[in-house]
This record gives sequence, C-alpha cells and structure tokens, in this order.
Amino acid sequence: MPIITTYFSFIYIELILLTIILYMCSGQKARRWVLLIASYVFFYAVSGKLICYLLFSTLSVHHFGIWLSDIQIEGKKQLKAAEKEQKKALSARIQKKQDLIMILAVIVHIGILAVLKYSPFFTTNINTVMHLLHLDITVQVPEYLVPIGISFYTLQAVSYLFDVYRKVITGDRNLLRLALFMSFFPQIMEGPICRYSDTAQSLWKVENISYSNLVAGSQRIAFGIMKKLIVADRLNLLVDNVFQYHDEYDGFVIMIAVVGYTLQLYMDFSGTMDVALGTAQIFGVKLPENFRRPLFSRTISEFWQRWHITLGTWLKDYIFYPVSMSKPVTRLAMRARKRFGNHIGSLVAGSIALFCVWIANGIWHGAGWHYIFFGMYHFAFIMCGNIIQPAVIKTSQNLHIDRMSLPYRIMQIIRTDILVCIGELFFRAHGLRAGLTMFRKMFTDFTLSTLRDGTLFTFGMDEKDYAVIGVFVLFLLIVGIIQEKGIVIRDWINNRNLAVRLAIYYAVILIIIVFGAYGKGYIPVDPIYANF
Amino acid sequence: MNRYIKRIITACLFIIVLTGTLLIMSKITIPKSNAPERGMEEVAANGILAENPDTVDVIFLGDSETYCTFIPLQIWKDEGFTTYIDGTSAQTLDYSLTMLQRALSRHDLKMVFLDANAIYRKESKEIPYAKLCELLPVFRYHNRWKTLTSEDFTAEPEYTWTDYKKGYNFSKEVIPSNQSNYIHFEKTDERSRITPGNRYYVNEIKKLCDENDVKLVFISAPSSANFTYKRHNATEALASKLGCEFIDMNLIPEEELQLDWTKDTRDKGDHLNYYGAVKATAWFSDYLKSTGLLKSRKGDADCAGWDAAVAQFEKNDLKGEKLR
Repeated sequence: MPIITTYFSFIYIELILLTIILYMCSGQKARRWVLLIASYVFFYAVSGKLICYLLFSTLSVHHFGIWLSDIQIEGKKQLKAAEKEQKKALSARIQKKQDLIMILAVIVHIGILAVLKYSPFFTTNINTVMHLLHLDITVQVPEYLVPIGISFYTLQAVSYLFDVYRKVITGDRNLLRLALFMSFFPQIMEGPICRYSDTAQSLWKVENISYSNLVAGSQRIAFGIMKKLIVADRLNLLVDNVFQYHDEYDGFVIMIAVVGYTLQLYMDFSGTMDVALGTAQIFGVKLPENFRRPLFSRTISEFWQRWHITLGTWLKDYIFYPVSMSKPVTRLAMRARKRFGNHIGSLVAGSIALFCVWIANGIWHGAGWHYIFFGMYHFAFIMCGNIIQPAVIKTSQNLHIDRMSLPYRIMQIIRTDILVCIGELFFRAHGLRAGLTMFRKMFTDFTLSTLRDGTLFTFGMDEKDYAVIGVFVLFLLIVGIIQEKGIVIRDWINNRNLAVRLAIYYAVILIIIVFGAYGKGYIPVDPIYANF
Repeated sequence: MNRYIKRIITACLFIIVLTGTLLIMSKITIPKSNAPERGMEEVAANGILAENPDTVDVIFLGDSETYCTFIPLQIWKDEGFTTYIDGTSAQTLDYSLTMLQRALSRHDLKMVFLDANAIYRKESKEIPYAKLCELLPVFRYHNRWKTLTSEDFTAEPEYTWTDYKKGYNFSKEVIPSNQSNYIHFEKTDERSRITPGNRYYVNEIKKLCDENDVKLVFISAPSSANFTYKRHNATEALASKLGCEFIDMNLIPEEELQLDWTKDTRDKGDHLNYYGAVKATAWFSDYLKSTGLLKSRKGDADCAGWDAAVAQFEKNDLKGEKLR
C-alpha cells in the first residue's frame, strides 16, 4: 500500500514543509541534493520498490544522451577533418549511427512502458482473436505492477533524448541535474510533462526561497485544493455510481453524470497542476502551464491547445512534425496537392500525422479500446473542422454572420463543451460498449421525471451539495473570464493592502475547511491522471 | 523593525487568529444533540452517549462485523451484562479511538472488544487529520453548515438520544455463502501487513484502555468472506505483543458455534444475519460470563430501561417473536 496516494494529503504538505526547511538550511550545492532526495522519498512513498524503474530510466537516459552527444561531437570533428568528397558519406554514416542509438533508446524506454502498461491489453486482444478464429491457443495475460507516473517521466525521457538527437540540447554529463529533471517531486506523478530546456537549468539554479515565491506558490496550492476538495471530490459519488451502474439510470441522470465527470476531471487534474506548479514556484522553479481555461475553447482543436497543454505540445513536437515532415508523407502530400488542389493536398500530410497523434494520445491515456475510441473521436472532429473550415467561413460571410460576435462565440463554446463532454463519457465509461450504451440512453431514455423523484439526491449529495458546486463553478467562470481578459488575479491580490490580503486568505482557508468534501460521507477521487 | 521579524510576527498572528476562528467554528458545528436529525454522525453507535452514566460495561469497536454479530439485548437477557456496539460501517481505527474516548467519558468500562477487521482497513485516515478532528472538531463536523440552526450558536451539547438496539443492526435477510468450508482454505504461516498508521492507533487504544483499567480483547467475528489465515496470524502476533487476548470466532469448532453458512448470513458470508448473530451472541455471552470480570446489572435501577428496550426490540423488529 503506497504511503502517499495523492498530492492532497497531509503527508505531502509535511514533505513540502520538511523540504523547505532543509532547503533553506542548506548551501547551494546541498540544496540540489535536498530536492533530489525529497523527490526520491516522494516517489518511493508513491510507488515503493518500483522506484527502481525510475532509477533505471534516469541512468539509461543519462547514458544514451552522452552517447549521442559524443557521436555528434566526434562526428563534427571527423567532418571537419574529412575531405570534401568524403563528407557526404561520412555524414550519412554518423547520422545512421545516431539513428540506431536513438532507435535503441526509444525501444528501451517506450519498451518498458509498453511491457508494463500495455502487454495485458495486447495479450487479451490476441486471446480474443484466437478465440474468434477457433484456435486453441491462449497467451497468458501478464500482470505487472506499474509505477505511478511512468507515462509522464517516460515522455520526459524520450523528449530529452530526441532533443539531444536533434541537437537542440547537448547530452547532460551531470547525472544529478538529469536525475532532478526526471524526478522533481511536484510533477513526477501527474505532470506537467517538462522539457529539459525548460526546467533543468532552473532546477539547477536552486534559488533562495523568496517571500514572493512562497506566497504566490501557496496561493496557487490553495486554489488547487479548492478545486479538488470542493468540486472534484464532491462529485465522486455521483460520477462513480452512475458510470458503474448506468443500467439503473435514465438518460437525464447519465447526462448530469457526464457533465459532472467532465467537471470533476478538469477540477481534479487542473487542481493537481495548481498544487504542482505552486510547489515548484516555492522553490523558484517555473513549470510549464498545463491548462488555460479549456472549457472556453471554441473548437476541439483549440480545446487541445488549452487542455493538458504539455502532452499536446509533446505529441506535436515528437509525433506530428516528424510524421508530417517524413519523406513518404511529404511525397504523398505533393501528389495530393497536384491532384486535388492546395487545400486537400495540405490536409493529407496533416491528417496522416494527426491520425498518429490521436492514436498515441488515446493509447497514452490507457490500455483500452475506449481510450483509442476517445482519441479517434477527437481526431474525427479536428479533421472535420479542418475540412469544412473554408466552407464555414465562406457561408458565414455570405450570411453576414460575424464570427467574432459574442453570441456566435458563446454558441461555439457551448458546442465544443458538449462535444468534449461526450468524449469524456467514452473516456470514463467502463469499456466501449458501456460508453455506447450510455450515449444511446441519453437520447432514447431521456426524461426529466428524475428531477422530481429525488434520484439525484441518492448519491450522498443533497441540494446544498449541488448548490456548492454551482456557486464554485460560477466563481471559476468569473475568474476565467477575468483571466481571459489578461488580468492576473494573483497580482491583483498581491497589490492589495495587508488587511485585504489577509481577509482573502482567511476566506479561502475557511471555505476549503467548511465546504470541502472530505471526512465522513465522502470518498475522495483517486488522482485520475496519475494512473495514465 | 527588521522585515523578516515583521513577517514572522504577521505569520504567527495569522495562525493565532485562524486557530481562534476554527475553535469558535468547532463550538458552533459540534452537534448539540446526538439525535439523527441534529447532524450527529453514526447515531446508533453514538447512542451510548445518552445511556445512563456508568451503566455500560463492555463496548465493541470495529466495522460492520461488530454490529451484525453481537446482540447486546440478548447478552442482557441471558446474563444481565450491559454491552454496547460502538462499531460503525467501515470504521477506521482513528474513529475507533474517538468512540472509545467518548464511551470512557461517560462509562466506567470493564472490557473493550476490538474487531480485527478494522486493523486491516486500507482507508485508515491520516494521523494528522484524525488529530485535527480531535483538536478542532470543525474538521469532523464541517458538513454541518447544511443543518445549522440558531441554537447551534448558543446551546451547549446535550446528548439525550439512545438506540434501543444498543448499536445492533437487525436483519433477517438470508443470502447464503458458498464458502462454508472457508477455514480450511489456504492455511499459511504468513502474516498480513498492518500499516504503521493502524499500528499507531492500536497502540493508542491499548494505552487508553490501560490508563482506565479496561481489558482490551481482539476479536474476529465469524465471516466466511473476510477471514484469512494471514490476518489471523498477524492479529495473533499483535495481540500477543500487546499482552492482549485474541478470540478468533472463525476458528471456534463448528459444534460449539453451530453456524450454518447457508442460513445464517445476510450477504454471502460477509456478515451474519439475525439467526447467525443469535448463535454467535449465545457463545459470546458464555465467554463473557467465564471471564468473571462482569456482574449482572439486572435489578440495577439505572439499567431499568434495558428490559424495556428488549420489549421494544421484540415488538418492532421481531414482530412479537421472543428474543432467543
């Protein structure tokens, strides 16, 4: 049983406080060790002996990074010394060597992830196929303990190796710095997925803990706790019950649960990110933002630029661009452009790459057909958006519709949110079949009678719980609108006088204590993204 | 004044004012009565707070196994001993400790039975949270904002509601177990792991019992769904380390307990139903008598209500049938 299962625990707060004290009492060099030891203690508390996977990945990444860098440096020297006519062949040889190392490195890291996380899924499907073919062969489904956060640190490891391979950075010979980058405790469990060039140096700087960072970091942590405790945990009983026993509920209750789950997922994940970013800020480390008010998106494409941003940019940089720029795809795009014109031609390369991105996105979230469906669902909408965009623009111009007007934008936001909610239904459902049943029920078994018969109050939630969620969501909506206007609320708070600031801090603490869904009668939601 | 000193003073003042506010809020949110409609949690178990002072001699702590296995009114009827179930659904040990503290604040207990199932609960709350609940009850009763009345701001807590079943959870439902032979499964010398948090609370419970001269006994209620030798071994080792007795009712010879797992369980062997509880309680009454630690309270004026409770139980729940 893990000692820590969530960032929202007293033991995590104790770890932060202890780390702050040790960090402040240490000299600059020792601080790096304090952060690394805190990170490993945290990971051990989360995953126990499975920490060996993280240690192996760190050592492996360190080794591959240096290997690649050495070949690049040596290759540069050799190219400099080589005769002009030999350069091309030599360059190809060096490149080939790098390619082989990179392939090996990717096989090692993605291989560990694939074996631990996906082999049960693949073997189960192989068995199903064998059964369908009436073949009397059964592959034993393996069961592995998967370290929490493996999907996150593996992507970080691969991004580091690709960046070294592409010469964006040089392989780091400092194992301590690399280990810190791989394991920094606020982000190891649920991200954000960091790039070496973004965080390694600021982690290495180990700045003094400043009053402003301490206050700003604490504010951010408190905001995250509010989201998690007041909304995400409060919705848990409703969401869990309806998704598990969807046969017993009508379409209206399912619809409420689907909206509830979308809210829960957002509050849980973005709340965790607030805690992660706030903790890092205390130590003077700026982690990349992972959310930018995604429910204000006007299209699915925009949604993915605002939701789990670091995963989106990772997939863009390490799958979308390499695939769309690859020789076969560019060749195909050129042919398509000649045959079908510029719009379709450019769509071809993009859509092949996009397909790969969304397959990867679906699979990254979990080993299950419903996750792949989830990826394909978003792929389909983004593709449709790309295809029909010129026609939509033209039609709206002809009809004199102002696409930037507020009503039109609100309509787009509502439409996108509905599509997102449906996507999350399949994401959360217990399998694809259950997802389809629930989706169908929302149309075939929809009745408002459950509003009167009290079904919604049978999940350990009464009308006051719904009211709390409503008020808090409204509060977040207002905060979101203010933030969309470019106003940084924390700056506004920090510029108030002490009395106002203290009043706000008291209010936030008391609101969390009184309206938080914790203790008897509530079951906190497990960190949703930690299991991906 | 130095900037840092100023900040430290501000932080200290902030914490002092916050603590004061939370103390006031604790006073407001704490239930002013233990009646169900006044926001008291676990009303049946907390009914002990309204029993006449120093009238309960034995309590049971633990999860649902306790309130499904033992019938205090039957023990009263058989031997005149006063027992009360302070076990609650999925009880974690921090709450067991709270219930023990509450019981001791009102009764001069002689024996405490801690059901072993609770020792293996994964959901045991974090120690700091449980401590916070003790110091600042607003953390436990924060949800009472939903039911606050003007009285909550002025009145002092007064506990008047008690459970005539003394914490027992009555059910005659029969859902047979298909594991009637369960004690012969997977015999092993291995032990289940007891988490450090649960170990801490067991020690605290033992300490509190010792301080109040109460005998603590570990007990494992019959349950074909929950029993494992690993748990049995670990509980036995823990009990022996603490110098406590451990009764595993799962290992009592069949002819003594006479449980029939096709008829005596309400949920496939997880919990006993009334028929099973009657058999388990009969054995348990004899055991209590054999300890020589308790005396019959029949005829004690303060316990006069217990006979009325038996009558009420027979009328309301047994529909006129006599208890055993």
